[in-house]
Amino acid sequence: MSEGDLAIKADGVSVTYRVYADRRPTMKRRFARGRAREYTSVEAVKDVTVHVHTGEVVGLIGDNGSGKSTLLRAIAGLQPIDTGSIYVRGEPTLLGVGAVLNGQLSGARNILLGSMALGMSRQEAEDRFEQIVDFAGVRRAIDRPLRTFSSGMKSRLHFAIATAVDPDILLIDEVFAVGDRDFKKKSEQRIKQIQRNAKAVVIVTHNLGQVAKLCTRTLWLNEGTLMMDGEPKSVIDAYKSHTGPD
Amino acid sequence: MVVTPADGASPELRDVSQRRPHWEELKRIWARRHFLWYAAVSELRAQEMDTFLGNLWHLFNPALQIFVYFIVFGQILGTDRGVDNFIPFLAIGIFSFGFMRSIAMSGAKSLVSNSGLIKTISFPLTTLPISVAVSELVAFGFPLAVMLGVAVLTGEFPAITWLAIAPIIGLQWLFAVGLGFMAARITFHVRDFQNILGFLFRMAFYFSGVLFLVDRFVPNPTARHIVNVNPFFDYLSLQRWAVMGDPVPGAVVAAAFMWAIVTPVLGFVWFRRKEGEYGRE
Repeated sequence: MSEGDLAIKADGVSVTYRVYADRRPTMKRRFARGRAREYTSVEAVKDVTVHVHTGEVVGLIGDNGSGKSTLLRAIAGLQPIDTGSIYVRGEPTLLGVGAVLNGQLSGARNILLGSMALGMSRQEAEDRFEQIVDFAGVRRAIDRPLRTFSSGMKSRLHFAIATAVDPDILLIDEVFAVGDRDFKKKSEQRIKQIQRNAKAVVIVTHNLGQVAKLCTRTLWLNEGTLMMDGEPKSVIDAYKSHTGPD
Repeated sequence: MVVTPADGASPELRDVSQRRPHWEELKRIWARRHFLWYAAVSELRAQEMDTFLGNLWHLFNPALQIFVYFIVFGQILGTDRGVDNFIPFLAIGIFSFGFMRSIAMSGAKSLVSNSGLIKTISFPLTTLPISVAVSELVAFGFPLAVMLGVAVLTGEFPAITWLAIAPIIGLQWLFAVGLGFMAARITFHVRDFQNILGFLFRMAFYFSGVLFLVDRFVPNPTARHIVNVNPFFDYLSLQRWAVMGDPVPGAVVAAAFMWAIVTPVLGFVWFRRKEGEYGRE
């Protein structure tokens, strides 16, 4: 496949979290040493360099806490980085579990709100309404408040809204873990379609079978460090041999 | 299907940690004008969904407020000295002040209470304080109706100056949005500020001539000059002029315009200076 333009250009990216001790700061402690509370630094992402071109679907694998989600959020511009630089072409859209729309409002209102937040006009949002409802498969629940939706339904709805218009850069964080088989199939088709339309997709998932099937390239993160970057099969094999047999 | 996003996605590589220029941010807000309006109306809906009387509370609340303040301040404490028609005077004071306070207070909360949304989708964060302000503007329709209803019932007749009511509300809104921007940034860094802000507004309430005629109670000319540049007092006086025909000094008019320009511009710029931080875990 011919390589498109650079869509994501991340160079030497590091993200350090400050983790505050989970104990109630007393008044004395709060004032004794100024406003500095005790914390430990956790390097979630260490010096990662990744270049993603349009037309690529990149799988991001690794153990829990290896920095996958942090890296994704940094690419989306939602997580400030401490060193390095991240450049993107176009508007990144991040899809995550528990995406927050307004739980009080009906599914229908949330579809319109979400679509317009992504920059659609009222008319465009209404034109795409039916398509979104069908894709998410939530027609029967559409007038119920969103808080009564199951987590799978919410994720489906969010995916449907976010991909109603091809996003320039689609970042997916473990959305498929909560979807059913039918939705998985539909969304995989949709991702392929987005790829064909020369957009870039990055997927964080623990489903290695899906990575092998869907991705054109795979990255393996371990404790914040990029261990391997390459063709899915070899990266998955290396990751499997690292974590040991099932 | 190729659809160009409303923002006009830039073909250039863009540094995600770099703030967009101000004019580009304004363009992105404009592209989301439908969202702002729909979010505001939806917010009102969500608020009222759980109560039996629903949106009627928007009418009852202000009516009951006037009643309480009229009894306590007008009848018992007698702050109505020098005011010909105290009830509309009071109604304008309370509602106009409350309008600006609500915008600033909900602006203060807007970043903190939407942290989920901020962490999930990337959109211009400046829309948050604006969106709550639009919501308050829509909700203000109810107290405004009560305010004008009370004015007519107590013998004020609609005059040509009533045409100025809407533009004055516009100036108030701009000023309060500016406060909302600033309050949002401060509250993001120091949550305690929300409580302090409530107290500051309580104080301002008593120093802005909401309940009494400033001419009567502030005889010192220097103090009068200070009161004249108090933005809350400016907007209250203008609104009283528009509805009741009370004279208003030129300095007050000038100050009202000045605040409506300076505050939102400063607030917007100052809010954006820490924009990159608002998504931090």
